[in-house]
Amino acid sequence: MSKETFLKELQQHLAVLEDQEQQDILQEYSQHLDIKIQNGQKEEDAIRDFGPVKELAAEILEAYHVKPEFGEGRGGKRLPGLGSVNLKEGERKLRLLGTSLRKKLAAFFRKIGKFFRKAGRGIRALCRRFLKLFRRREEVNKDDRVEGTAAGNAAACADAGGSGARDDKGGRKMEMVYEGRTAGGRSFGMVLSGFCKGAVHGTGALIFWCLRMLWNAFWLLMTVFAGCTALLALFGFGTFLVLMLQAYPLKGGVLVCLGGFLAGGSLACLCFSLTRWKRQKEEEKYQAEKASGRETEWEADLEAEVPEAEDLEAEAPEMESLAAEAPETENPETEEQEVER
Amino acid sequence: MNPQFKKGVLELIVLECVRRKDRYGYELVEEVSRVIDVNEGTIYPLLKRLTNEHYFETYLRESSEGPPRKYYHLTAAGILYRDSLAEEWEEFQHQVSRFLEEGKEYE
Repeated sequence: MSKETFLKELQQHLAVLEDQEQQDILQEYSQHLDIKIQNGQKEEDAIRDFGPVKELAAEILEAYHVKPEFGEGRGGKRLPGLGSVNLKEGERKLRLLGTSLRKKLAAFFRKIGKFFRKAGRGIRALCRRFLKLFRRREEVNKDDRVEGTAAGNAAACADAGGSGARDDKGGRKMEMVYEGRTAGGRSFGMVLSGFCKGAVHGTGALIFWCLRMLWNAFWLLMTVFAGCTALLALFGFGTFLVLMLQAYPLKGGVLVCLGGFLAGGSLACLCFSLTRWKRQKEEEKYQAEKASGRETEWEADLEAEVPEAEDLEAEAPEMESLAAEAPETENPETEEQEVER
Repeated sequence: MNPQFKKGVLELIVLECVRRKDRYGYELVEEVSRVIDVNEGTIYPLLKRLTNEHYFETYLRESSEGPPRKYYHLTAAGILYRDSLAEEWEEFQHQVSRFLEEGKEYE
């Protein structure tokens, strides 16, 4: 056996020791052998004087209060290999786990973000629709009112024109004027009622909308509250669990915290789902309404009113012509009066 | 010589060797081997243990032949330990001798 193999073998047996210690001992033995060889001893003999490597290693380990079987059983190579390989593999696994976790988290947050964006868009769309509805109603009302006043003016004109009429013709004209006036009044009444209806409907919708917002806000607040409670309970659960594992008598606390966490979490989920459900329901309702409900009714009303107004407009020129006729009819009367004079 | 005897007194002999003079490993082994016939390999672990227990200090000193040598020096704690071991040895040896003396009456 050469010096190198002897030292290598000895090192394998001493692998449990720190590297520095191993080096110290091996250096001593190496130097001892060197001196012996220098003094004219054969390398083989010098090594044989140490006795079996195993026994020597056992004695060395005994000096460190290490069980000799440990050094022999492990056989040097396994320990470092085990450590490095497992460490690397563990690191790789951890890194993989980290990336997957990160991806999942990112996806989750993206989902949340998407949901919020959707919700925001929905709310905005609802608001816009609501506002548009209200505005349209107002515009229509204004139009109606304008038309109504025009018709009223025309009627007043006709009235003024027809005030002097005394004969059948004038009476007829008066009748017509009256009809015109009534038509104008009717349209004005319609406008008023429509406006009132619109206002009532608008305020109703506004109140409804406010109620819905309140409802959602309430449930969202409840969600936040329950979520915070759940998180607090989770924190308490972890703390108490650690303390319990350190032999503190906290089984009750741990159970209470676990229960609180579960209850808070489920309550938060319930509240949140309730808001969403409500919102979806509202949207569906709104869609259904829009499809066949009051809005079309409203439009129908408006459409019904508009032609009437047009009718009035159509009537108005007639009245104007009547008003123009009226002076003509007056002329013969003045002529008659002059004749009487 | 009974190896168990050797094992018991080896520590005392090594301590005494280093007390007289700072020595390096091979020198020590030779010195100890003059007193008792011992496996050279067993002295190094003993030196290591005594160093770890702070009875020895080590330092390197250049040598005319080969690499620097590690010298062992007995610390104050080492001196106290050596004295207590020597006392124990004296007492032990006396007792054993006396016992053996007593045995002569039975002859």
